[in-house]
Amino acid sequence: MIHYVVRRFLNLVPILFGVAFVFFFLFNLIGGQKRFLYNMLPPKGRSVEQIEFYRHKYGLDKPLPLQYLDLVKQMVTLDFGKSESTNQKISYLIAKYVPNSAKLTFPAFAFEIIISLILSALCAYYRGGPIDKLLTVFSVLGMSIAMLVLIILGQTILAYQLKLFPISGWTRGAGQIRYLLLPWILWVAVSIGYDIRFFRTALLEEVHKDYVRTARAKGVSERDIMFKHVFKNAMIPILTYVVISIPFLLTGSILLERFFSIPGIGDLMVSSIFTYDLPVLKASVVVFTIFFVVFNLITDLLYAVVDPRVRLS
Amino acid sequence: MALNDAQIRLFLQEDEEESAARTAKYTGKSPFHLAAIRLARNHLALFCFVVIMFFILIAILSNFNIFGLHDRALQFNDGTMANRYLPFGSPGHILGTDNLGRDILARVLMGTKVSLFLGFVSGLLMVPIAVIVGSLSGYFGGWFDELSQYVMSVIIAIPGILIIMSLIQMMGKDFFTIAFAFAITGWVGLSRVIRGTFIQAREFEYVLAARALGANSSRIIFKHILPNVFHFVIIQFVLYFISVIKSEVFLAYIGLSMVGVPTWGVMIDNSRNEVINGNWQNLAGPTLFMFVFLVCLNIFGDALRDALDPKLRNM
Amino acid sequence: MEGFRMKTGKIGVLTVSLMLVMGGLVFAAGQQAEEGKVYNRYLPAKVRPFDPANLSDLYTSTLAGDVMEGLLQYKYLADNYELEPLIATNLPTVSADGLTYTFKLRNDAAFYDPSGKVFKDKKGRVVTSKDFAYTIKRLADPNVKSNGWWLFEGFIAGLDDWSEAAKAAGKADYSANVEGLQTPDDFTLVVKLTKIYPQILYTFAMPFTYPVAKEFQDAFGDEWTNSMVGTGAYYLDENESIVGSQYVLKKNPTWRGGTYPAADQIGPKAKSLGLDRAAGQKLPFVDTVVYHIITESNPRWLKFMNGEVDFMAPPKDNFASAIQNNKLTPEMVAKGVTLDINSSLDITYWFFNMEDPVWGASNPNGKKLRQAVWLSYDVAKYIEIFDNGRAVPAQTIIPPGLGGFDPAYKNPYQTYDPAKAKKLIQEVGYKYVDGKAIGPDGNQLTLTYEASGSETLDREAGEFRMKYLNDVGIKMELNLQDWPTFVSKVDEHQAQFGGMGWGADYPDGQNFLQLYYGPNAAPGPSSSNYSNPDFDKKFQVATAMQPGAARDKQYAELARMVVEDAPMLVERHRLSYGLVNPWVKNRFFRDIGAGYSKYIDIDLKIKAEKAGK
Repeated sequence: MIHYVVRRFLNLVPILFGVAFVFFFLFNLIGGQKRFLYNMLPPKGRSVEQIEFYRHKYGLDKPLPLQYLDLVKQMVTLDFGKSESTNQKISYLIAKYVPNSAKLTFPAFAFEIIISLILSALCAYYRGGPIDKLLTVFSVLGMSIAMLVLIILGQTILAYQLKLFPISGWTRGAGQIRYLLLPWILWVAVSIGYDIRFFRTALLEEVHKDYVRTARAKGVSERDIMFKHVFKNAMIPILTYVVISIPFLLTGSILLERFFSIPGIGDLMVSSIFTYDLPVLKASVVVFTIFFVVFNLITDLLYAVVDPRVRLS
Repeated sequence: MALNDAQIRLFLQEDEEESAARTAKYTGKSPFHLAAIRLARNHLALFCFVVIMFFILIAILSNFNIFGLHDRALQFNDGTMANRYLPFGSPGHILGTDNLGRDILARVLMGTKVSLFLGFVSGLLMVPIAVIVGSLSGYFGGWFDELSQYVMSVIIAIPGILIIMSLIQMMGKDFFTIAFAFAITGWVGLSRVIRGTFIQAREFEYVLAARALGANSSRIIFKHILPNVFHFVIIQFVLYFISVIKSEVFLAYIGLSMVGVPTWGVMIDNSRNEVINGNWQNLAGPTLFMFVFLVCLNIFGDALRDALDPKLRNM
Repeated sequence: MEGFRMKTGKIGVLTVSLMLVMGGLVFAAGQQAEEGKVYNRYLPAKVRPFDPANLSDLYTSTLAGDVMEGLLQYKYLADNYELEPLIATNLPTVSADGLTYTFKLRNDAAFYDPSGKVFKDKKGRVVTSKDFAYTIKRLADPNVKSNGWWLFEGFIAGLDDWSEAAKAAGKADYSANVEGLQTPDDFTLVVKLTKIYPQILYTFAMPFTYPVAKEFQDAFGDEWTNSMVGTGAYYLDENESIVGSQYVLKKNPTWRGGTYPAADQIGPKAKSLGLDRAAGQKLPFVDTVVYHIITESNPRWLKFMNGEVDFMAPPKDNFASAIQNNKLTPEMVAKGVTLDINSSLDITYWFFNMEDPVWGASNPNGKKLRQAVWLSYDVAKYIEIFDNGRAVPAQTIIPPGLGGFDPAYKNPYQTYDPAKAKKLIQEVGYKYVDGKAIGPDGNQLTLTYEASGSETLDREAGEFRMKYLNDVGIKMELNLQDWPTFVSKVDEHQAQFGGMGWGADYPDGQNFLQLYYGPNAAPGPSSSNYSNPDFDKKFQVATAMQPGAARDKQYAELARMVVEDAPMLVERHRLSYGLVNPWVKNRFFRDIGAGYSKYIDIDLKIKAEKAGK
């Protein structure tokens, strides 16, 4: 078991190298260097010396392979330096922005999963009946609208016209919940469609298996079948699905952060692509990669716990 | 894999008499044919299929400038600024006009082409990559498996949005670049599942039997194992199609969608600044079309999956 | 079945109680005590660091201007832009040769440190001339890489040498004496110039010269640019501010005070708007100024209409039609919103690269080609469609409101005359075949337009221009790209022609005329790389003159001088729109300068009546 964990953990290293390489490749291929330099220069008062100064400062005058190694070193040591568009220490920015994104996405995700589980269980339990059909329709509807549309509608109608929620903003302490309510609702509305469909299918796959027929024939109650057997067995794909989704939470909140003025990391990362803010881009990629690899590891561990064959392979 | 009589009966939910009449007709027919029959009985799915066909027709026809479609959609209405922001139901402009006086309906129809083709082409690019990589690495294992797993991990580790944005910025905002960018970032999920299926399947009896009989690997892969994942691939293709259409809206928001042609995403993005003044045309037009299309696609995709899935019954 | 129902029941109870708890929290948190008068403003982008040497960002400097002060400021209610002393006691005395500026400082402009880290009692020491010398030296420090240095480079005696020495040594020596920055005593600053440069006076009202207390840098280390220690009417409250979301300014308790302009300082325009009501009263009126960061325009509008933001200025590039036909919507009128339209010191133009072989200075056909392109374009139509009428066609590069602007002058090329354009094109050897201008080599005349911006709007604007060139037989290639790529092309003289804009840094026509000045070729501000020795000579003479009618005449001549050569197509001056909620008092449109929040007053009664209804 330990071997397995260690092996999976060591996988992190080549992945980091790979990520660094792809990132490096993309950045240079899109002419990132030049654009990065120019983005730091002010609209007025540019000079040749300034351009050279920046080029040297970021080591962009070194040969490419050396630059690549520098990048890897930075990623491994988590040395992020300063954002060039704002000249603030990136660790400062991350420390300020990541918690806000987390407050938006983690509770929303939790609500989403819980509600989806409950609703899909209802679907599976009353399969074929009116509730099932209604919920299916409802999820299909939810899957057919783009997030941007919901945000525009939600903000304009629910917040502004009906005054049910604040339009946007942020504060400190518990008051943040007020500003998070509408974003949470919108997040859940957009996501549960997919989840309900998937969970329902996973549950139904189990329900139609032979052992369920056997259990029924043996006289086990529907409720017990549902909760003691079906749910447990369907947990594997469901859990996988849930855990796999987690690393994508950070970037999923971009639209919500921008429209609701929540100072989060999703917005920071997307902006850095447009401002060619290399240090912030690098830092975002590293944070995301680490996040992803860690959760991947957790999934694999869960697999190993559940399925002995995996451990031995 | 032909089904026997009893199974066919169960599949088609009919009694012995009806089935006796049908046996002559349907014995030996492929699962696809049976799936089509099953589908035909699902009236809702049929209706959705018709709607989808209708949309496809629009997509194809909008390539041509019939009824002056292109002119109405693209040209500025010189001199008649009064034409801007006409509301729904205006004479000559059922869905109104946008900020430059262009007809919304015409623009939405042209946008249909972009969205549909984008989804379709992305899916067409994505599926083969996923299937080939997944099946080969699942079946053969070894160094190819290790390598492909590594590549997949690296691709997923980088936020997809970054890759897409970089590719589009580098290669331009044209149709194939966008489709390619979506495909390149979207194949991993499907590939993993296919790989998993193949890992399991290669130990199954029918595979061992086929090998014992001397069938070569590609025959086993394509004729025996792959059809089992087909229903899954179909549903994934449909889901992917849907997600691409929705992602195009996000691309439009960040300014990376196609330029020069109206797309649903661009229209919705333009509407951001307009709804405050009660101008819902740019938002309502594309949303309506997108909604109808995606709902039908969803329902039809589901029905298709159910019809093809040998395991799922009675739903 | 039973068990399931029970489970549902339990879940139901849980959900309801959860909702009650959240509702309670929400309710409690919603009770924000509104103490005193609050002025709500917004910024459409995140703020940048508060280092005066790099305060070129318009939005950050607006915020900083409320907290920090310079030697001079602009008179708030004068019709045009005039300077008056702020930390200085008077406008500086200028020597006869125009090279020496002597400033006398007040002795009561004290720094205020809300954190107590720099000055233990929060009220710090007073600003001295040494602080100003220090802050100006910083602009020349190569390690600071100031983006305001270009305004001073080459003008202050000894400062360039000091900068070179710093480059050589790798580090700047602030103790070294600079001849042009003398501080004979704590409240006297003597600035010596190398050549006559009347515009330098304006720089003392710009954020680049806000004084920096060295103790502040030492106390905070690298993080000093995230805070501000200033002498102004407000201070940045870090406890209530949230990085990236809102910046809260509170009244500075140790501010030496100020007064609303006296009646004789108020210009006729301001008087006609009734802004003299508060003449002579003590400042500031408002206790708190909140800058909300709202990057998206839709929530910005919604918040304005809901009364959470006190005024809105739709950005000049955003032609979204919130205000159609220059009229407010009925909803806005009902809320008492007023629309304030002003001309701004702004110009948009197309630069033609004079080094380009097709139509540059080296090509004898160049001039007529450039003129032809100008004549083929319909600016008025562009303004109608893309600006909602929110601009005026430019006759010369100098915008209305500045000396040198001649309201009577009509530029012969700023007119839509495709017939004449075609004639000119034919005169330089092109023939029209099928409506295309075919040159002697048999190819159609093709020009490549560079544009920055990736929005649909930018594409549409580009296509609009394409249409007009096409109408006179020219094929236009449109390159739409992001800002850095665009700028690098221009800087490397690789752009054939393209679209740009320029906003005034200070209210002097020189700021615009310099766009034609030879030595200012890219990467300097002159994107067209125009070089006309006659113009340059006259420019040097005129810009050294003191402001006045004589100089205005010279400026007007210079502006007209370049019309025939057409190195640029001057397009339009954009208007500035402001939407103001009815409870905001004393607001006067100022295109340049900062630190105006102290003049604003909020009428709480009107706000209570109208806000959020």
